[in-house]
Amino acid sequence: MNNSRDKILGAVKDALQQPSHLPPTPQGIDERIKEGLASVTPKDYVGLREQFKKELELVSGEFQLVHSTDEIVTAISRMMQESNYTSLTIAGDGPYDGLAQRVTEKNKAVQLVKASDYQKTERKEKLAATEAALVDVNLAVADVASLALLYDDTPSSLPHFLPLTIFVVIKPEQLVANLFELFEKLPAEKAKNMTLITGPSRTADVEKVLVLGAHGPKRLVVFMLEEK
Amino acid sequence: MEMTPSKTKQYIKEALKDDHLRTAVDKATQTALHKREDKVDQIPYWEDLRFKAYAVKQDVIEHLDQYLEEFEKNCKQNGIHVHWAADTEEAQKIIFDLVKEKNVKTIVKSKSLTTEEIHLNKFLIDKGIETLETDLGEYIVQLMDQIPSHLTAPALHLTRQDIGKLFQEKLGADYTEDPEELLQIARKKLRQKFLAADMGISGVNFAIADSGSFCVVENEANAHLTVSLPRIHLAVMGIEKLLPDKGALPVFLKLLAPSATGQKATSYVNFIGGPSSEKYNEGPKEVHILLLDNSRSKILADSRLRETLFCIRCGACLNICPVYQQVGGHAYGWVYMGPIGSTLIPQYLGLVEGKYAPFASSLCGACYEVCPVRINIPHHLLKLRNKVVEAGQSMKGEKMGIAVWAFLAKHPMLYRFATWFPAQLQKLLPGEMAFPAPGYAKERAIGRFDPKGFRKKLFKLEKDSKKSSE
Ligand code: SF4
Repeated sequence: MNNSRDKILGAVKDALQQPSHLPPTPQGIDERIKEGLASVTPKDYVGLREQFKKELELVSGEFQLVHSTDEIVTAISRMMQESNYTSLTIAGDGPYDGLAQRVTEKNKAVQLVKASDYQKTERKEKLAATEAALVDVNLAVADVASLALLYDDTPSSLPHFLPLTIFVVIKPEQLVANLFELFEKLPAEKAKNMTLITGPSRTADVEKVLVLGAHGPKRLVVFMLEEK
Repeated sequence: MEMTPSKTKQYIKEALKDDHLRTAVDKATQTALHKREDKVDQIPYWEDLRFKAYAVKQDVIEHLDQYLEEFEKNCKQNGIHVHWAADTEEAQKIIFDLVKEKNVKTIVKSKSLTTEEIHLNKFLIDKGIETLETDLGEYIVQLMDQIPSHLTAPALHLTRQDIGKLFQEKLGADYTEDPEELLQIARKKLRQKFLAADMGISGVNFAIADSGSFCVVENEANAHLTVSLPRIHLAVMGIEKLLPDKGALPVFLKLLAPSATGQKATSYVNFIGGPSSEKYNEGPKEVHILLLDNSRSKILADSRLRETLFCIRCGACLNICPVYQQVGGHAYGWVYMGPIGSTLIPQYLGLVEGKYAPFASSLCGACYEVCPVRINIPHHLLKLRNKVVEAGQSMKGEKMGIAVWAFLAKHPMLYRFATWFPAQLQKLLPGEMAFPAPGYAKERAIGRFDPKGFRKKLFKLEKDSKKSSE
């Protein structure tokens, strides 16, 4: 292995002895990107929230503005009932686990599945069979409607991926303007292991026809919780 | 199905006769182009992003040794096992040794062109290891025993009817041509495979040198399941895929999604920076990364052509290319196709096997205009054509033609005669008949020479324009 390593690095070093003949990049690019970004970034929270909503809907996600956790419980219970769902999964240790509990109290047909209660092999099987999940994320990005989930802060990311419908709760302070701001804010160590989620899973591999629910969720509902 | 760029001429002939293929490619490329344009229009600083990406890539590629060493050191610190492979054979050996050592019986893969480059599926399957592609398009071409025909849309050359028949034949499913139902068939089959697989294999879109982590960009969630469900993960990465730090990611993520699929952001970007932690009790217990050279260091040695290593495999240059639109991806006979493929084929495979590739272009320049990292593809194609000629690999007929033209160009009287004579000879042919051109005229209508000849026409044109400007 070391032989190949040295061989490759040696070949790269030799190759770089050739002086560069690549064209120079114009000056002031970073400033122009900043200006361009500023020109399309809403100036206040409400603008950002509306941008997030618009972008999320464009990628077939659903957005609901709510002012209390009761509203979330009622909405999820109703959607679960409409879809005839009987199982709701949570990662465990999450800030909204209590809400999921309240959904099962309201809708007795729904069984709660806590990912962290199971060892990995059993967990995979269990979660693959559940229909919906109630999860949290770390940050949300307004200009592309992405959600950032840091693995270091959760015992399981499978609830975000295996069930057909995902309910996500976010709060105003979690909203950032764009990907530039996101990567600036993310702590370097935690950003090594994470995922960015934008809308439900999809494919257009058959004649470029868009179909939702490829290998992951088919429906993604984001609740923006603006508590008084 | 083994393919080779040395048969490109034959593949092109076959493709040009296949209306079914042309319709499928046309529909797919036009859809992608329109969606791309729509998203690019919404980013007023798009051109600046392209310049920025170029500058970042230039820095990485021209200091590649340093970034590779930094990446390796940080990967190791994160508990990632790093392997180096100089070529296909070595890469296959490393992977098979790992598979044996870890007692791996089943593998799920997410789309990776680098693994296509080393024929990994065929190699592992021949060794008795179940290896399944999980991206829908890749799964389809694997069942078809084909290679992908596009960098980001592997099954772009197939219609829904083709896929319906394939699933009926190979999976025993009821025939359907509904894309939603076709997806459900594949999802059901593959879900079980995900849950049972011992190893996941992915490619790498971007690797971050200063953090020792890498990311995989996707839409289907198959890559997430590939990197998180099996107990071992292996990522296969070309040595050029590095970025200095996470600060460069927004630039590249913003450029990649519109260019590749006409989206503002892809559905998932999965970051892997080591095996699973205590708290996050998911993800692989072991993460391996294989750094593959396979001619990249050779490409680096040309101080201008090294720009082709900037490619982020978005496929935009394919979609816009008038040649690709006519012949599709298989005509190029290799895993990289279209304009960028035409530059990579002779560089990776040599000027003998790849001698036709740089000529499969009209040099219209559209690829350069859409390329998110500003690779000057037409320039590189010309340079590679030159190399093919210098290596004595140009076609006989072409060589003769150029020799005759060079001779005539040095003898103006003869040149004048040569451009006048065919038009006179043509008068002997009955009616509107053109000179017979066997082969060429089979697929195209061929016109008659102008009886006046080119020179007379040009002088007349000049005269007329002078008159009108007076
Ligand atoms: S050459 Fe440019 S446009 Fe073509 S695939 Fe690579 S990055 Fe995309």
